[in-house]
Amino acid sequence: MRWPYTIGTLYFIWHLSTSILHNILLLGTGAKPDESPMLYHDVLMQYRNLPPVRYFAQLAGLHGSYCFYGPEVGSSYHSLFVLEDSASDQKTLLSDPGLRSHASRIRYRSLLEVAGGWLLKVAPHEDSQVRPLAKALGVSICQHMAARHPGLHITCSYLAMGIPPVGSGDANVKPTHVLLFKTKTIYYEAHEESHDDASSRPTIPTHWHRPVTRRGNDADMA
Amino acid sequence: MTRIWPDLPYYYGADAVIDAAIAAHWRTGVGWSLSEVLFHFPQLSVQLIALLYITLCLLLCWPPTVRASAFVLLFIHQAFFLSETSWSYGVDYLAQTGLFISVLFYPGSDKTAAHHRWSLMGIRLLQCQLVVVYFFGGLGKLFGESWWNGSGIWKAIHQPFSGELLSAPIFTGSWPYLWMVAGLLTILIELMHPIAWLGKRYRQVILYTTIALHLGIGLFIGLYHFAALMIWYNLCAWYYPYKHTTTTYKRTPLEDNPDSVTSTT
Repeated sequence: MRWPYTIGTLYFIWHLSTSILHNILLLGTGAKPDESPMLYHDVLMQYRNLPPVRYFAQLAGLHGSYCFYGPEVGSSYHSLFVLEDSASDQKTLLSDPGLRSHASRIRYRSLLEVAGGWLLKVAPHEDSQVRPLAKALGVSICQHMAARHPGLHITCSYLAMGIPPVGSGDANVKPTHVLLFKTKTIYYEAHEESHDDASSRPTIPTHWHRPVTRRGNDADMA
Repeated sequence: MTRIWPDLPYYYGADAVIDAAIAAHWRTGVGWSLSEVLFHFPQLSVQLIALLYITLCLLLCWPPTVRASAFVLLFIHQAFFLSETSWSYGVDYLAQTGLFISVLFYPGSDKTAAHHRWSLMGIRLLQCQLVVVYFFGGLGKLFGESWWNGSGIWKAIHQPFSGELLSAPIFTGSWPYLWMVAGLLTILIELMHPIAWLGKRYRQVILYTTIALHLGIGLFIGLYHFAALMIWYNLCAWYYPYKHTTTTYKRTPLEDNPDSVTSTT
C-alpha cells in the first residue's frame, strides 16, 4: 500500500510547485512592469506554457494570481448608460446593463477592470489590439441595451474613477470621473438601430490573439 | 449560482451582453466553453446547466455523492467561469482548486487507517495551498507603496458596485494612520500564515485573525462569496482537523501487510 502515498506525495509536490510557479511569474510582471523581464522569467514562462502544465493548472484553478489588490490597487472603473426617450424627453441613468444581483455586478466590475485597463493601456505587455477590443466591448454592451430597450437612444460611457486620496482631510472632496470611451446607439422610426460613429466603429480582425492583461494571460483576481 | 441566476442570459448564449466574437478573446482554450456551446442552443440550456450545478452543489453535502458531484462540478464550474475569464474573479479560481482537492482526497465513507492517511494528505495540501495563497497575497502587497501608506486599502474599499454592508465614511480618509495600520495588518496576517504550523496557539491566532480579515472583506468590500469561501477553507484547514473527536478505525489485518508480518517474526 505504499505506492498510493508515493503517487500522492509526488502529486502534492507537483500541485504546490505549479501554484508557486504561477505566482512567481505573475508577481514578477506585476511588481515591476516597467522593467524588462528577467531570464528566469522567460524560462519559467516557457515551462508554464507546456501543455501538461497549462492544462493541469487550469483544471486545478492554479493559473491565476493570488495578489488580491497587490502590489497596487488599480484604477476603479465604472459605466454609465443613459436611456433617452426622444418622444417624452425622459432620461434614465443606469450604472450597469440591467444586472439584477449584487453578485453579478461584482462580476461586471471585473469585466470593466479588464476593459478599463486596456483603454488606459496599463497592461505591461499591451499591444495595439487591446484598445479597439475594449471599444468593441462597449459597443456590444450598448447594442445589447438597445435590443432590450427598443425605442430609446442609448449612450454608453466607460469612466475611470479617481478616489480622494487618504489623508486629504476634506469631506467635501468627491471622487473624480474621467471619461475613457463613449458610444451611442440611435433609434430610428423605421426600427433600425445604427451607430452614431459607424465609420469609426471598431472591428475585430480574425487573426487577433487573446489580449494580455496586467496579470498575464488570465483575468486578474479579486 | 443562485445569486446570478436571473442574470445568466446576460452572460451566456445568443442574448449575452458580450458579443460572441469578442467573448472568444477571453477564451483560455482549455476545457469546453459554455458560451460557445450555448450560442447554438436555446436560452433554456444555460438555466438547465445552472440547475445541474446547483443540484451538484447540494449533493456535496451528502457524503456518498461528494466525490462524484465534485468531479462533475469541476468541469461545469470550469465551463461557467474559467474557460472564459470575462465574468470571473478570484473566488472562481479558488473554488476550482477546492473542488479539485475534494475529488482527489475525499476519503469517502471508508474509515480504514489507509483512507484516513490519504485524507490527511489532502488536508496538508489544503493547508499548503492556503499558505501559498496568503503568502503571495501578502508579498504582492509588500511590493506596493500604497499598502504601506494606507491608500491601498482605502482604494480597495471604495470600489464601485461593491454593495458593502458597512461603508467607511469619507471623513475617515483624514485619518491616514488608521488606514496605514489596517494596510500593514493585512500584509502581516497574510505573510504570517505559515506560522499556523508552529503549534496550537499560533494556529488559533492565524485562524481568528484570518477570519476577521475575511469578515472585513465581506462587510466593507462586499465580496461576500469570496469571504465566505475563504472562511470555510480556513476552518477546513486549521479548525476541523484539530477538533477533539474520537474516531475508531478498522484495523488492517496484519496478513494484508507482509512487511509487518516479517518484521514481527
